[in-house]
Amino acid sequence: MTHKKFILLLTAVLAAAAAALYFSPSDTNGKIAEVYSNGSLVRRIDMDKLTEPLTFDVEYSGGHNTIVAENGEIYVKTADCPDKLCVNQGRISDGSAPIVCLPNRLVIKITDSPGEDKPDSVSR
Amino acid sequence: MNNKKHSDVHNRKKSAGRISVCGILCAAALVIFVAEAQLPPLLPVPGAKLGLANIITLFALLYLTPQETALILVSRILLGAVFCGQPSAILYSLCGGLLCLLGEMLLIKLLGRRFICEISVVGAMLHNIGQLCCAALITKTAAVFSYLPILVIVGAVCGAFCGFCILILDRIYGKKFMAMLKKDAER
Repeated sequence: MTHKKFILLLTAVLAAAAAALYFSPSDTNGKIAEVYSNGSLVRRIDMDKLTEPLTFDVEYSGGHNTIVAENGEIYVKTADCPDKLCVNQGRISDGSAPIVCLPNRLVIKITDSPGEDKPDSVSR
Repeated sequence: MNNKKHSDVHNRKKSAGRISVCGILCAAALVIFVAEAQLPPLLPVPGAKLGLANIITLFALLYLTPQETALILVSRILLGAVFCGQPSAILYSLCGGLLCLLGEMLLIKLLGRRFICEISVVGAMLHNIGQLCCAALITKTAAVFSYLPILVIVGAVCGAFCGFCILILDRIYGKKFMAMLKKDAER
C-alpha cells in the first residue's frame, strides 16, 4: 500500500461523508418536537398547535436545560452544561439534525406528525 | 541502590525510567488537553474538536509499547476530565479514545510508521465514530448519528493537522527521545 493509494481511500471515505451530508434526508414537513432526557421521551410538542412561545425546563442529575419552542422552531435558551454546545446549535425547525446536549443527556429532535400529510400552512 | 537490586531493575520490563517517560508524556498530553478545553468550540457540533492531545498518543505509539500508550491515554482522559470539571465526558472520551488507539495500533503494525500522518486521520475519524456510538448508547437515540458525516469530515481535517504536528515533533524530538529510551535500557 502506498501513500497515494491510502490517500485515495481516505478521499473516497470523505466523498461518501460529504455526499451523505449533502443528500441527508430532511423531512421538512415534520412538526412534532420530541424531547428526550437520558433516553426517555419527556415531552412531545405539536409545533403547529403552538400559539404562544412555550418555555420549559428539563433536568437530568443536577443539569438544567431551558428549552423554548416558538414559531415552528425549538431551541435551548440556556443551559448549565460546561460547553454550551446545545445553546450554540441554535434553532431547529426540521428533522435534518437534532439538538444534542451530551453532558445533560438531552436530545431534541423533530419528526413528522404520524398519519398526517404536509401541513396546509405554518403560522409564523 | 546495591548491585543485586540493580540487575533486578534491569531485568524488569517496566523500569522506573520508562514509567517516568510515560508520566512526562501523560503530563504533556494533559497540558495540551486542558489548554484546548479553554478554546471556544469550533463548530456547534457535539464532539467536534481539534483533538491535539492525540499528537502525544501517536508519538507514544511510535516509540513505546501499545500497553504503555494505552496507560498514557487512559490516565490522560481520567485526569483531564477531573481538571476540566467534566466527569460526564469520561465515557465519551474513553469510547472514542480506545477505539482510536485500537485502530492506530493495528494500522501502525500493518503499514508502518511512514504512514503516521494518514494513521492520524483515520484515528481522528475513529475517535469521533466511537464517541458518537457512545452518545447513541447513552442517550438511547439513534438520531445523533445524523452528525456522523460532518464528524467524519471534521475528524479528517483535524486528524490531518495533528498528523503534520506529529511529523514535525518526530523530526525535532524523535532521535533525542529514542536516545533517551536506549540510555535508560542500557542502565
